[in-house]
Amino acid sequence: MKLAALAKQLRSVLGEEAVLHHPEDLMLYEYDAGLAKGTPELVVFPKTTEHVSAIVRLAGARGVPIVPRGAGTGLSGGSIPRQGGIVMVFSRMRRILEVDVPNRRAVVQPGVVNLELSQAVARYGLYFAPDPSSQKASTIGGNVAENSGGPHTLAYGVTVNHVTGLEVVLADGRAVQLGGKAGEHAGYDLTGFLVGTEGTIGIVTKVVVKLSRIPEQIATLLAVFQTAEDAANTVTSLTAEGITTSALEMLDGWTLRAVEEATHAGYPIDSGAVLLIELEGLREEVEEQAEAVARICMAHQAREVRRAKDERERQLLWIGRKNAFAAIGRLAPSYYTQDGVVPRTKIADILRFIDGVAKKYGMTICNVFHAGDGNLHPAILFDLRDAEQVEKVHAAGREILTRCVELGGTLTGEHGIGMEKNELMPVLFNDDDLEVMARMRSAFNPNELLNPQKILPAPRSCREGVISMQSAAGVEQ
Amino acid sequence: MSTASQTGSAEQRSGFRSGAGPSWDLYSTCIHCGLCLEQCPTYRVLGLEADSPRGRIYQVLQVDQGNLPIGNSFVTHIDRCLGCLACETACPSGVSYGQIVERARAEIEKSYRRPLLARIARRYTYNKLLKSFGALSFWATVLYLYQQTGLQKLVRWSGILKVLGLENTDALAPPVDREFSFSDLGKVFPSEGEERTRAAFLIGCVASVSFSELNRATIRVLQKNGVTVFIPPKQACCGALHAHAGFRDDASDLARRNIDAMLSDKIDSIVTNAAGCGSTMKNYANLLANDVRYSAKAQAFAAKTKDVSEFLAELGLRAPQRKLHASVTYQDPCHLAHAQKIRSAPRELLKAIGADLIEMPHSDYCCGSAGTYNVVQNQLSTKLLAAKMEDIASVTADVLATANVGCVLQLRVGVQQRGLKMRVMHVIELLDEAYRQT
Amino acid sequence: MSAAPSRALSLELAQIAGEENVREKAEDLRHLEIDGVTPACVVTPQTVEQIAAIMRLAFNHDLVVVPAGGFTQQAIGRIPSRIDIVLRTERLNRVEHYDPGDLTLSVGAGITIAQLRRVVDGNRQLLPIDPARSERVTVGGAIAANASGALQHRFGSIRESLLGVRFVTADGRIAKAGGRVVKNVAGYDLMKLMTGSFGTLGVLVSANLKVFPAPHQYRTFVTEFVSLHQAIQYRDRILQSPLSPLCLEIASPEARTMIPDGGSRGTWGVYLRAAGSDAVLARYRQELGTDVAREGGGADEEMFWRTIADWADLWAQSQNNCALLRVSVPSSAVENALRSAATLAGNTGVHWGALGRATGSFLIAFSAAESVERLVTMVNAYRNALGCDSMAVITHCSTALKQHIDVWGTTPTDLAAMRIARKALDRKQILNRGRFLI
Ligand SMILES: Cc1cc2nc3c(=O)[nH]c(=O)nc-3n(C[C@H](O)[C@H](O)[C@H](O)COP(=O)(O)OP(=O)(O)OC[C@H]3O[C@@H](n4cnc5c(N)ncnc54)[C@H](O)[C@@H]3O)c2cc1C
Ligand code: SF4
Ligand code: SF4
Repeated sequence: MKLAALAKQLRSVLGEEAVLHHPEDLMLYEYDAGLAKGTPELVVFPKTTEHVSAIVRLAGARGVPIVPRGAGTGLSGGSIPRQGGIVMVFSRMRRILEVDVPNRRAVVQPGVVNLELSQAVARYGLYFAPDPSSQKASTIGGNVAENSGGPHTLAYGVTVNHVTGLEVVLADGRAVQLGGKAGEHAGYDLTGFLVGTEGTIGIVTKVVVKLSRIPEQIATLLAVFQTAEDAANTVTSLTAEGITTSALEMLDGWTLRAVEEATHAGYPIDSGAVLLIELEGLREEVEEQAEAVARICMAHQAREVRRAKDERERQLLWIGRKNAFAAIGRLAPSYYTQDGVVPRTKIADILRFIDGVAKKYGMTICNVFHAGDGNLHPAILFDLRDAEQVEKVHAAGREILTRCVELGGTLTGEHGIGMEKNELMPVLFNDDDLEVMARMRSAFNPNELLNPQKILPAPRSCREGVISMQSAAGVEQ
Repeated sequence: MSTASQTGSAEQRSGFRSGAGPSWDLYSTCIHCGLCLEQCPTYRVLGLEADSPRGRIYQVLQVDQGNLPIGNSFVTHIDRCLGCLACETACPSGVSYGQIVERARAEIEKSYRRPLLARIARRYTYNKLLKSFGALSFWATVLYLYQQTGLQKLVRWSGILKVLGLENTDALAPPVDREFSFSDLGKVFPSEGEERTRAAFLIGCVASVSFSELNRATIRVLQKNGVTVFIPPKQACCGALHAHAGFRDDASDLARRNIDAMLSDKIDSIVTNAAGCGSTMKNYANLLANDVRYSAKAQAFAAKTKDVSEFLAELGLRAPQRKLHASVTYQDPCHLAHAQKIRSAPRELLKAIGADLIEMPHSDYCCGSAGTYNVVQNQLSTKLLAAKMEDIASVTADVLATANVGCVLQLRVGVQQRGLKMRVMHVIELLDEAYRQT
Repeated sequence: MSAAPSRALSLELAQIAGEENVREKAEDLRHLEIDGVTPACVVTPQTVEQIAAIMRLAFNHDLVVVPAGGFTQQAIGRIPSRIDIVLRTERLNRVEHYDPGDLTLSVGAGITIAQLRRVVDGNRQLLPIDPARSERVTVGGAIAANASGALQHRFGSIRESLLGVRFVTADGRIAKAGGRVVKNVAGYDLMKLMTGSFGTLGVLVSANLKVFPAPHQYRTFVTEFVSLHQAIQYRDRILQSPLSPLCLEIASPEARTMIPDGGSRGTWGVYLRAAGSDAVLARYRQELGTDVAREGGGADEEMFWRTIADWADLWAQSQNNCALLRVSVPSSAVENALRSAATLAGNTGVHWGALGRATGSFLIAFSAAESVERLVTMVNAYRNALGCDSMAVITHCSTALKQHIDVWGTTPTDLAAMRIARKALDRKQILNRGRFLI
């Protein structure tokens, strides 16, 4: 075993059970929810901040890289080791340390599962607002590292909007506090900066999160359209008319049929697209807005606008939406999901473009996405066993993302860059932009031992214009 | 979605040699999204990917690709699985996890040599004990005497169990009712009032030994609801424990025996009060899919099989004369909630008799009982029970109800150890109590 | 005092930005003095490229640069030892992009908040940023100083609305981060880093912001209480209600004297601003109940909120020797934070007033006629009372006071970590050298 001496040291600090080194154990940490692979040489399970510090120090002294891992539900290879070394798993560092009801804050360890926190504070009428579709498994540490969003982040914001403080272990092994429970703190907002850095700046060991109040009223509407174009235009109008929906999701015809077959949620299978719209807040506000939503949908030739009668119907519609990607799995052996974003006035444009790409390559592309914030998730269907198709899928994916950027959008709305899209970063950022980001990374992570080769592309000299995408697996909410 | 390495499997030699192991089309539906992780009891306790559903499937894949031997490591992680099927509930991709692990276990039984002692014990339990009611009643009698004669106290007192590492196991030994339901075999219990339907009742094995009183109660409640209850004489153990342990052939034998014994035009439904049995019986069609003589019958059998709570809720419960005044918290048995997707029926029944239903957090998390799990994997089971008791202790209720015998036993231990004042009862026992109160 | 840049350098500056845009004469520089330090020159470039060239020049010659927008926040910070160049961004005042349908816009950093507000007003949209002196504060300045106003209650601080930034680094690179769309996780979030960095990490040249649909009508509910405790209780009632007001401010009795709210002397005020239809406002009335003393809308209401935004400036103008502190504490600590201000001010003989978000971020003003000493005692004692996890930054005071007290106070955020960030982007510390807290 290569890192035998290190393993021995780590065992003496963490205990026998907390270090894995047998190949049959290591192979279980070579994947996440994406497609990328990479096997670690050691896997460690810290329980305390002191453990994390010790691991970072010991590994640092030997120049061994460390990749933090939450639940491994990431879709961009964030938790995959690219250079062997250590994978640091947070599944045993999962205590809710404090729930501060008057201040609506909770202090949690990074391994706490997103939904577990919401359930634990539900009795106070509170919840943790960021709701990635992976919330029943993904960890707060992972959410912080990816700055995760979800259907309801349209109204409530992504993870960074709900984190006021962090404890982080830096590359030198020092545990530092950033921010705290108050809304603002003197000095740089390093908390805000750290969220979304995918473990490349520091390792998060404690998170202070905001808790939100459960709203008085929720209305869930389903608007059925003949064409995706009408649905897209409705999104633009809803935004422009000042309807603040808490969720605004679109499913196209392909998806609808698959979803209906899988869940029998009552989605119409003969329509071009539907919008799943949720409104939350004060009873009076919700009722008024529900009426306005119906009016706007009808003005865009909606065939019908249906409102969930009760919680059961509402849940059913959401189950259909949240399982949409798995349902798409019924249409083809494999699929590849993109996560680009466009301005909300450009949704119809990009859908037309995607349609063109599908025709050009002779492939089916399903669209089910967070329309309210322009965050696409086109799923390109293919058969992984057919090398020619795999080539085409990557080419098509690249075309779509490039177009998103041309339309004023971005490469990823919530899944992160990771090792999947880091070589595509130059599409969005020029050399100076990337250089400044790289300076931040090397300032905090001088030897690039914390999650190496993620987010930023390889230095230009080694890049040579090759954009080889490590494709992410086709799952998403 | 499958991965690149999955497709390359042809070149390597699969570790599944016997033909009993899971096949590519079964496990490749897993898109390794990880959504099942947190629902898995062993993952929650151990925090190891290897002891998560996704990890177990990945190990199966690696065995199939010849990258992982069927050795200690693989067997340990597959053994630790409770078969609770919480992962199937969680999985958006519709992975038939239960089948994957059953087949993996079947392969293990064929191609892995366990230590000698374990081999003998497993063989005896699954081949002899659980296959014949005769052997079972013999041991039941011994167990009964052990408990009644004070021998139990003596043995415990002498600390011998501790020495043997069996202390917790002892607490789990089912308290044995004196009259076993075996004596009821072949009887017919007429409906009270107008006959609404006819049902065959499976008396179960472990259940009939330790819970003959529960079986009686079930029959009474069914009668009260206008059901004529048949106890087919030739019925056998349902085969659940065999199938879960990897003895698929034995399970198939038992399935055929039960089909012969219980499937009849005269009977509308086949009812059981044990969730594990129900889920296995509903799965006979799958177990016997390749049996040309039995596959059609197995389908018919599966279609008629009903858990007693599901059966009564569908039939429409006759209200008792007096309401039950008790607050009840309900624990979902895994084999009811996850394997059979039955969650609302028991709750409806409880509400129908007037119980004040109080939901505990994580009511569908496994209690750690899981068939023989609490005996075979005692340490893990103890941790699961402790976590369960945390959740239970966070609510105040008079009665802790569940709908499966194994869970009742396990929860009783938990309640006792934690010194809680709750009564632990099967839902049917509560219904019976409601009907019998004057 | 600064050593004037050499003649050669000013020639170079003139070459970059045009002679007419470089000033070195004393009379042109007097109003740009910071804590008695007069800059050697002021440049007002017209393009981002010019700014980059100026920064390269400054970097190469180790010149201290003070980026400046409306010059409204320059009182913040420690006393500079030297200022070589004041770099004004006011010419970068274009709306570079406005997509009302997407509720997003990009503007040059030099546009004032008031100008920008007029632009979005025209589209019936709302800018979620409402700092004091909006006629002069530039977008870049507001971001650098993390300035906010009453709308923070609903929309959060600037960081929450900032989608992307472009800035020039200390060594003259033009870099951007983020983008124009509302959801984006590509690359590092340097927007957060820039917010509140007081021009020490780069010269902001443009910003992409979120805007919101403007409400059709507003209503303000003024409530007054004889005691702080009652005011806090009322606040808690609102926070626990389903209402979600736009603004929720608390005002101490002394601060209220500056606000035209028609209140009675010596009472605490709570100002709630709501928006919505008649039905929604009716619901507010119902929930707030009889506590409400006065209610208003229309143009007066607009004026009322302008005054609230500017109250601290009015205070500072009308009182000699005063210190304004920006305080942020957790919601449950507000009562104590205000009570200890009252007690300590009483003990030290200092005049005080406070107004701001009832949930924890507010401005507090202390004035003590001619006694710097008393102010020093007061601020120190007050910071002690708040504890080191809270923020209490002096945003305005005399240079004399700065000589005795650190304007920044304590922060829970690790200073060494901040230094790492600073070093990464401004290795030579030429931006606002000596003024920031690290
Ligand atoms: C079915 C499905 C649906 C999804 N839906 C959404 C969605 O709606 N929205 C969304 O945003 N994402 C979604 N995702 C992506 C994924 O779930 C999120 O990115 C999630 O936040 C990852 O959490 P995790 O605990 O699994 O982290 P991992 O995948 O284990 O790790 C993710 C990243 O975080 C880093 N990391 C983990 N812990 C720490 C720590 N303590 N300190 C520093 N770095 C750390 C890792 O190194 C890695 O870079 C989905 C994924 C799946 C499979
Ligand atoms: S059956 Fe239960 S124990 Fe086994 S993997 Fe699934 S959830 Fe885990
Ligand atoms: S939830 Fe299903 S598809 Fe996802 S990892 Fe678990 S078993 Fe595989």
